[in-house]
Amino acid sequence: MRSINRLNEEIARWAFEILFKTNEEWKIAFTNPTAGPWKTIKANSLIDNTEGEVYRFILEEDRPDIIMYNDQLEAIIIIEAKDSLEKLMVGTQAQKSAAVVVKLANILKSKATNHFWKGRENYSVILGLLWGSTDNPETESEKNKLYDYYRSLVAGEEIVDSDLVIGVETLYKDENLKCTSYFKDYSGTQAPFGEAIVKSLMK
Amino acid sequence: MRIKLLSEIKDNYLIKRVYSCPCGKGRVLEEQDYTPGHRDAFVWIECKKCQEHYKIDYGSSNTKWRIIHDYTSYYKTKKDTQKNDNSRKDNSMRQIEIWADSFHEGVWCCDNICNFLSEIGYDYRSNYINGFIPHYIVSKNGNDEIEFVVYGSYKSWNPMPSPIKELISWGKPDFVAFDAQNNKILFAVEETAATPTGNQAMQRCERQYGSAHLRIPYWYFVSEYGEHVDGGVRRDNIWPSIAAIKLSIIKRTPCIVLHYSDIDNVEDYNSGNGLGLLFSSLSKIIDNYVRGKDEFDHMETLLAQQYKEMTDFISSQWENVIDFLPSERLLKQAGTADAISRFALDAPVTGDDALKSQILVWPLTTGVPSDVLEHQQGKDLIKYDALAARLESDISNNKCYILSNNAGSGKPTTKDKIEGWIDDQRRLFSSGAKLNPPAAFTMSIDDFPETDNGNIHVTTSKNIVYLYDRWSDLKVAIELAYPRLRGRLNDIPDDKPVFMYVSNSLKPGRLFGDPFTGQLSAYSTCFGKFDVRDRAVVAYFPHQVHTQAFGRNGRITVNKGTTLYKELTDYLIFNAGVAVSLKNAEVI
Repeated sequence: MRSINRLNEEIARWAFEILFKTNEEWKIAFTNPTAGPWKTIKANSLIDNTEGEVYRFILEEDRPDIIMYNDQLEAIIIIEAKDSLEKLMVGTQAQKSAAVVVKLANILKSKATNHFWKGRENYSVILGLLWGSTDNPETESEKNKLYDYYRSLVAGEEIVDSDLVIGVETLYKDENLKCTSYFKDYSGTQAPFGEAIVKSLMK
Repeated sequence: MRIKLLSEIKDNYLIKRVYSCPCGKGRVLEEQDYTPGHRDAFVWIECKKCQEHYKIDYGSSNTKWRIIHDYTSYYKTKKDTQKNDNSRKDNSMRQIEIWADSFHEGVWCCDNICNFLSEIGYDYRSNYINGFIPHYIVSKNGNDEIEFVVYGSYKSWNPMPSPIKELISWGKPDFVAFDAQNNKILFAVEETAATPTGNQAMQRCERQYGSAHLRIPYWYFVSEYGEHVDGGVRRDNIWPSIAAIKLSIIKRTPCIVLHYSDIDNVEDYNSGNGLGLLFSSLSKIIDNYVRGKDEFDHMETLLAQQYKEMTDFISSQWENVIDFLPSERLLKQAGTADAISRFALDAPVTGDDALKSQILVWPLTTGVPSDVLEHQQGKDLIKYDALAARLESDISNNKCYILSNNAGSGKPTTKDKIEGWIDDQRRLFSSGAKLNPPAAFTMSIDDFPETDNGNIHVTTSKNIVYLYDRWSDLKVAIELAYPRLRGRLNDIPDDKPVFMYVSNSLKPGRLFGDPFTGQLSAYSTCFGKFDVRDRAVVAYFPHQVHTQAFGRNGRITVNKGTTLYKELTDYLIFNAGVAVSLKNAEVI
């Protein structure tokens, strides 16, 4: 058996994604590995439950790391992932990631006539952040700093539900990976929605 | 614990350091990655003994690390191994490791192989080791026969087996099946969802060459039809398929290009014959492995079917790409695919050898159909370049020929990008050692003509491939364009035919990266590097400087590009007429 050399983005993201092999509530519409037949956003039609293409990224187009949706909660999370929380804050990363979330929110909003997306165009679009940690989880204060910064970048964008930010931490400890979800409510009223999201993500 | 630094090399944005391991019998390897927009470090221990007792500790840092004595991991691993062994029904079950660029690709490989195995009487089940490592157990008649463990993201795992390390130094295939027991790679696969336009399909061909060179069976799975950004549908180009056929014959190892999609279902993995043929082959190799047979037992027909798909594709597509295809009739002939398959299995029969000197061999000018040759004339350049001008005039003089009289030009770019590029190249040029005879950096923004909308043309000649009958003719052209090289390029016999490759690129990182590394490896193979009557290979980069091939220590930078160029080229000619022989580590 090989051991992890070090936790990187691919492993941190994968550990989260596989939760949804068995989670009935959330569907992954897009994931951004290095290559392969995964360059399109796909969804199951609300009309006939068939799966098909919603949007295809063109070459070198900026794309998020994960897009997922929940038909019961009528929510979409667009996630930026990095192997550490620190890297989510480095340089212009946050600006780029926030811009991608806004761009994708607009694209998904415009897909009302797409057979596979129709009915989801008015779902809440929430910004998600995923990072990896080794041995110890990040502190509350580091997480809050991260959420606050990203939130400030989408606060003026109506297309994104900026009252909530979702965080996912993949902790690598003792050869095992464990994912934990968090939320931060900025409105004072969205906590129940945030709790429902986090609870359903970890099902 | 302090360990001894043995060497340090700068490789583009990577700094690679090698240390002695704690016991002194192996090594610790470090890669610090300074790629713009990315900062990362990977460290791994290359010593079986030290792997048991030490580990790399990054703490909370992304880039700093230390090696620590790990008093728990060895015993814990032992205990875990025992636990796993107890859970097996059959202790003889063998393990195949699937190393992949991403977990998705590794899982995609295992899912498809297992589905195909289930059609021939196997069952399978899957789970996740440690909650995230994909793990498949394949059984037959109630006995567990083989397990697959997926390691996604090559460099994230310790220890990386040396055959995989060697393979990925030639370029990383998307997934590789590794038999750890026998320290052997069973197959390598590159699959791409990229639209097959421009250089997309070509830019992965260095992996094809690397696998063939190491005699690892290789499949390249690519879309036949793709939708271009302009909305039009494009069909894949022929060079990866031609190179794969030639490599199969030369290296006597399967090297196959399979297509998915069709004209009505562009870029659809499930359309066309490719997916079925790919996983029929991979699952057959696994089935042979389980049954203790030769890896290619009973695969001749299956491989021949794939070579037939490739020859049919080339036959139906070449006229859209080039003016003539050598051995066109032979390609269509019944039995050709069977003979290629026998070569790939290293089992040619009497009579097959003739194929090697006939199939897809680009001839001397005397062998080019006269109507094609008559129509080929040198053309004016878009941006003047002394050597490119001579290459074009040599077409008119029948000293060389080109692939098509209808080559297109490269995309113009913005003025500020070119100015930035020229400044960078000037700096790099002046960082090199003084040359004798002296060479002067000559690139200037004034040399690049403007387009109607204010952008800048970077194309010199539209042609990028010139096939010369004799090195002496090309040498004259080079010496006239760059007198400082007169009498100094003496490694190639005068009578030897030459393939001359031109890249006008001005984009950073491309010289020894994508797509030119892949393009040059495919073209070198296609145009005769390994033919019975072989061609020398010379590459010309009018807008790049030679110092990019060397590190600060004056040694050749080690990366997949220099590895391939060293293997495949005789001379590289750079701006200012500086020639480099990577084989001889010589700047001329």
